[in-house]
This record gives sequence, C-alpha cells and structure tokens, in this order.
Amino acid sequence: MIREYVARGLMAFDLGVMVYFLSINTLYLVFSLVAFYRLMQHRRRWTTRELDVVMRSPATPAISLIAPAYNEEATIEQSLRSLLLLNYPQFEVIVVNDGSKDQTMAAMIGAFDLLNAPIASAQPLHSQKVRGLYRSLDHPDLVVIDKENGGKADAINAGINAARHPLVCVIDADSILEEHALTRAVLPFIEDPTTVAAGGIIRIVNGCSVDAGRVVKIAPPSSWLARFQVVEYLRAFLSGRVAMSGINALLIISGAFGLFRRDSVIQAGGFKHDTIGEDMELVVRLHKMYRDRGEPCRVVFQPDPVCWTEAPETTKILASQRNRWQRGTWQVLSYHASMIGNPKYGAVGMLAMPYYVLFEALGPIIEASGYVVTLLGWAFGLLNVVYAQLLFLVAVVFGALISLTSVLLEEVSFRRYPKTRHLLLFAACGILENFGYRQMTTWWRLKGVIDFFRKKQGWGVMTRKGFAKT
Amino acid sequence: MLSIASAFRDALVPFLIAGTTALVAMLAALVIQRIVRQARIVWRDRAAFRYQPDMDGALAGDDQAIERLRRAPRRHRGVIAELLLRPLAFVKGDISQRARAVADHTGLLDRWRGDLDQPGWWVRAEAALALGLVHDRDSIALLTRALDDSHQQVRAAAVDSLGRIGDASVAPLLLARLPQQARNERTRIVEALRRMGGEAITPLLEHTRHHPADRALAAEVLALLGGSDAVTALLDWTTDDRAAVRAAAWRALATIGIDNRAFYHALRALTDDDAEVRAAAALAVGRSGRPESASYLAARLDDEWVVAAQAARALSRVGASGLAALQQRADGAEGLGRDLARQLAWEAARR
Repeated sequence: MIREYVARGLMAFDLGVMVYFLSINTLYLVFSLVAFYRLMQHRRRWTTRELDVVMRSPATPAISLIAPAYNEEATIEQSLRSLLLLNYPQFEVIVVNDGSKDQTMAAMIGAFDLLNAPIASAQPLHSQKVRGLYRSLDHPDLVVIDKENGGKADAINAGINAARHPLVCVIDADSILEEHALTRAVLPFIEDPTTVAAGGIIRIVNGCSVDAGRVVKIAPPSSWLARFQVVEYLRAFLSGRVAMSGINALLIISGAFGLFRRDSVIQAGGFKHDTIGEDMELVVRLHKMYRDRGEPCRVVFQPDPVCWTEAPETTKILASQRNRWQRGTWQVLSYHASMIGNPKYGAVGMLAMPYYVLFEALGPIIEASGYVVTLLGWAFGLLNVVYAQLLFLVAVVFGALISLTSVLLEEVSFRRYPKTRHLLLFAACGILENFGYRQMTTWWRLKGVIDFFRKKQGWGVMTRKGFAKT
Repeated sequence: MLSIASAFRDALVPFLIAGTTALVAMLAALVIQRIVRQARIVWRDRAAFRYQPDMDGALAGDDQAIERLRRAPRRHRGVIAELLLRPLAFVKGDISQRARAVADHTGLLDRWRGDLDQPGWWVRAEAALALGLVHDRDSIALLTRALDDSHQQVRAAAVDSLGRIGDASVAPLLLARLPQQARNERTRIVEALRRMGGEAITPLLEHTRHHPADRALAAEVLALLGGSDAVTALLDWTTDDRAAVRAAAWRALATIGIDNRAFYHALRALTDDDAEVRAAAALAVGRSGRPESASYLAARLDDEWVVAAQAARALSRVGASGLAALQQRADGAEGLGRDLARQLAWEAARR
C-alpha cells in the first residue's frame, strides 16, 4: 500500500520535473531566437557610421565613470590608465577608495601625482565619511575620493555625489572596458530619452593577453572551471539578457559595467547599503519607481560594449560567488515581493519576476530535490532506470543545444574567439558541464538559499591574480 | 495525471532525436563556416608565398620582377598590394619611394586613387592608407578631399596619410579641422602635424594670422614642434585678449621650455585675471626650475585650486627655496594651501 503511494508520489514528482524541465528549456530556446533577431537588428541599426555621428554630436551626454576600489593596490594603476584612454567625447573618472587596508591610495597618488582638492559637491546620497578628495594636474578628468569603508554600494553612492555629468557609469576598478564601450553603451540613452539604465556584456578575461590595460589577444581560459563560466556568461548575456531587454523586462544591469541616469538613481535613493545584489536591487527599484509614478522607463542591455573581468578559478571562490548571487536574488525578490505577478508592473511583474522566482530562486531547490528523489527511488528500487537515463540524456542534449546556440549567437554577431577549436571547446563545455559542474553550482546555490534564510550577510572573498599575469 | 506523465515519457525519445539532430546540425554549421573562412586565409597565404620573391625583387629594382607582378591575375592584386604595403608601416627611408614605383608600374596606384570614390567605406579607408604608405605626393589633393569623407575611418586614414607624406602645405587644412573633432581624431591630427616637423611651423603661423580663433589649438601643436619661431609666436600670444589662448600659449611654452625673457613674462602672468592662465604660468615657471621664482609661486598657494596645485607642484621643483616656501606654508594657517604644501613637502622629503 505504502509502496503504491510512494510510486504515485514519484510519478507526480516526475511530472513536475518534466514540466519544469520542458518550460525552462523551451524558454531558453525562445530567448535564443528572440536574441538572434535582436542581435541582427542591433547590428543593422548601429553601423560604424552611426557610432561616428554619436562621437561627434555635441548632444552626446557626458559620463562620470565611477570605480569603487577596495584593496586594489596590485592593479589600480593599470586599470585607471586604461580607463583614462577610453574613447568618448566627454567623461570623467571617479575612483572611490573605500577605506582600503593596503596601499591603493598611495599607489594612485604616486602614479597620477594626485593633489588634495576641496570637497565641493552636494551630498544627495548618504555615504560613509569622505576623508579627502584628490585631483590630478596631469589628468584633469580624474577624481579620487578617499572615504571610510562602507562597502561597494556606499562607495558608488559617494561617487554619484561627486559626479558632474548626467550619466554615471558604474564599473569594477579591476575590470577592463574596451575602448569604444562607452560610445556603444550610451546609444540607448540617445535613442530613447526614457532610458534610465543600460548595461554591456561581461566577458571573461582569463586566458586572454592583456597589455597596458587592453585585451590584445582573445583566447579561452586554461582552467575548465573558467571555461564553463565563459559558456555560462555567453548563455546569460547573449541569450537571456538580450531577450529580456527586448521586452523591457531586464532586472539586472551587472555591477561590473552599468550606465545609469544620475538623477534617476538619486531619486530612487541610490544603491542600497544592506543588500548583497545591489545592482539587481537598484534596477528593480527603478522599474518600480517609474511604474508607480505611471512614467515610462527603459532598462536596456547592449550586447557590444564589452567589459572584461576575471573569473574565479578555484571552487572555493566560485562557491562563495554563486552563494552570494543566490542570496542576492532571494533578497531582491523578497524586498520587492509585491511586484511579483502584479500586472501594474507590466512585463517586469508578469514575466521577469515570476521567471526569476521559478527558475533562478527556486531552481536549485527543484534541481537538488530531483537528484535526491532519484537517489531515493534508486535506493528503494522504485526508480525506472531506463526512463531516468533517458531523461538525463535529454537534459544533457538540450543543455548542450542551448549552450551551442549561445556560441552560435556569438559567432554570428561578434566573433570574438578567433580559432575554430575555441568554439569547439566551448561547445564541448556545454556538454561536459552537465557532468559535475552543473551539480556543483546547484549545490552552491542551494547553500545560498539556506544562508539567505539563516540571514547570513557578507560578500566572501574574491582573490584576483591581476591582469599583468594573464 | 498518469496518462500525462506517460505521454511525457513517450515524448522523450522523439525529443532526444530532435535535439541531437539540431545539435549536430548546429555544430556542423559552426565548423563549416569556419572552414570556409580558413580556406580563404590559406588561399591568401599561398598566393602571398608565391609572390613574395617577386615583391622582394621589385623593391630591389628588378624590372623583370615588376613585370611579373604587373601580369599577375586581377584576383591576386589584393595579395600583391598587401605584400607591398606590409613592410612600409614599419620601415622608413627610400623604400617607400621604391614601393611607390612598384605600385605605379603594377597599376596599384591608379586602383587606390580610384578606390577613394568607391561606395564601401573600408575600401576608401584602405586606399587612403595605401597612398600614404607609398608617400604618393600626387595624391595629396585626393587625400585632402578625403578629409571631408562621411566616414570616420576614411577621414582618419586620410589624416594619417597626409602626416606620413609630410607635405607642410596641408598643415593649415589639418589645423582648421582640429576644433570639430572628437578627442581621438584630434590626437591623430596633432600627431600628423608633429610628423611634418619644423616645416609645418610657418604655414601654421600663417594660418593663425588669418584665423586667430585657431590660436589655442595651434599652441598645442607648436608645443610639440618647438623651435625659435614657435617660441616667438607663443610669447606674442601670451598677451592675447582671450584667456584660453593665453593659457594655451603658457602651457605650450612650459612644454618647450622658457628663456629669460619668457620667465619674467611668466612671473607677471601669475597675477593674470584668469585662473587657467595663472595655473599655466605656474606650470611654466615650475618647469624652468629657477629658485628666484619661489616667493612668486608661494603667493599663489591660497589661490583657486588649479592655480594653488600648480604653484605647489612648481615649488617642489625649484629647489631649496621652493621647499622652504612649502614648509613655511605647511606650518601656517589652515586652508587648502596648507594641505597642498604639506603633501608636497612630505613627498619631497620622501624623495
């Protein structure tokens, strides 16, 4: 009798898993199709000539680049030099030293001949105490703020306070922006004045050659862990974000490279100090603020402005990163739970947020329970082994299909990886990631969910090698 | 529910077949398009290998080699042009003249000149670059026209090529374009003018005589060219009515270096009405390294930030009297001047 109930329960669970599996894969394939159409449209729309017009137009808005820095002594000089060489008509670089414990501040003073300058800006956003403001005579567009430690969000807020220009671009001080990244990222703001935020693609620099703050040779990383992440990033950015942006339901502008209207961010209250996913939280808050007011707003993903960043190459650091991302997702969804399924918030409330709840927040729970039930079923002799194997095979094939679609999207749009074997390697990663890597990330994300409910705070540690060694 | 679950199960095999077929098809598409690309590259490499000895001979003055290149099939012209131009980007001297002769005999010169009217911007840009690499003075008029091309890359190529050819008569044309350009294009134009060297000074000064509005930009270029004519003109511009010109002139003089006469003008400019001019004058005085300027510079330590910062930096460069002035201000009343003096005195002590 009990055995029959368990068998029926398993059957119901089977059905649930199948529906979940079908939905997520179909959705990803739809994303890929939408992304393909959008990428082609984007290429046709923004030709080099159009970009040229933007570069020469006096109406092109000036940008304040804000780079929070914490213990970046090893890389700060090179990163700043590359930022100052960006190709854009008018911009300033604001580095916020967030109470670094190493010699970050001294490295900047020495490298750029920084001099003490008066703090003259209004302070609309709260931040920890600013200890000093420095400018360079040789680089008039460089401003360095030295403040007490308050976290990344706090540092960005201090930077927004000091910003002189209408657009603020938030970047990680240890990332590399491509020369034309700003020109490409600013396009949505020129095209449509209701745009409040835009983000570019984040690519993984591991394996590439970097010289003087520029990526000069693109190649895949040498470690499998970083290779899997390249495929993940391609999938997330070229499929997911392009498609979400197409229906104006983008919930994340990556903290490593995002462009915002300064007045909108100030009206929304700036970046929240007590959040882990402060980038996603701000974007959701902006959507909410404008829709509550009944005003139009656009949050756009631009696929071609590139920001290169270093990916973790050890399981410990990657685990900490994924744990943090998962906690961040849960935190943001819980902050803005009233928006979920609420038609007042349009595609954001009705599509993007339910998607995040079902596939991002609950995803690891559903996946992990699938593994557990399979193991239990096998232990108690209730598992239909042939069916389980078939299901796993289908999952691998469809996972690989989605990954390969992302690689193809990359090939038809930007073709950054020059060698065929690079592409085949990524295609192989799309298959191999199902044997271990995917299960590991599910486990780390599940721990993130548990940590969220245990109210665990903190960022964990991200140790970087520095670009000079790549 | 059981029937739905079983229907799903039944659909797994067709799903698997469809998915695998799509996977294989996509993989094949990915590989095939790359193979086609690679085949094109191999074809070009082979052609390059075939013509390389003839190109070496042609550049060494071998008429038979030139003749063989001239008779090469039309589809190989692109490869031949590439072989001709590749070394020119790195090698200087009379090789460009020999390359021009080869380009002329093989019909490449005419082709490039004609390409400047092609609809594809990349064709026009490559043609403009090629004409500059072979230093074709006969194409200066065409390249000058390309300065007004609708595409940035073509304009950039024309600027580079005119700089490479080095005919100073086009210097005013380039200078006149400076105000309208984006930062990277301005750098390119300044670099082209710098390449022209001292010969460009006279036409530049002549141009600013008729277009005084361009003086500030011309000062930026003159700073790179240097020379006594440039210094005389710049010194004259330090008394211009427009503050932007005065400041640019002092910045340029700071780069070139100032003599006795300019030094005393610079000391007077430290009391100019405009902060940018005072700052530029402080820069020039500081770079002169003369100790007698210390008291003049110290008086500017509580000026606007840009002036005070330049004065403090200058004081740290003029020797013991400057450091003493910095120390004195560092021990004085609170204010921006004290902060700057403290920082610079501390940095000097560390050196």
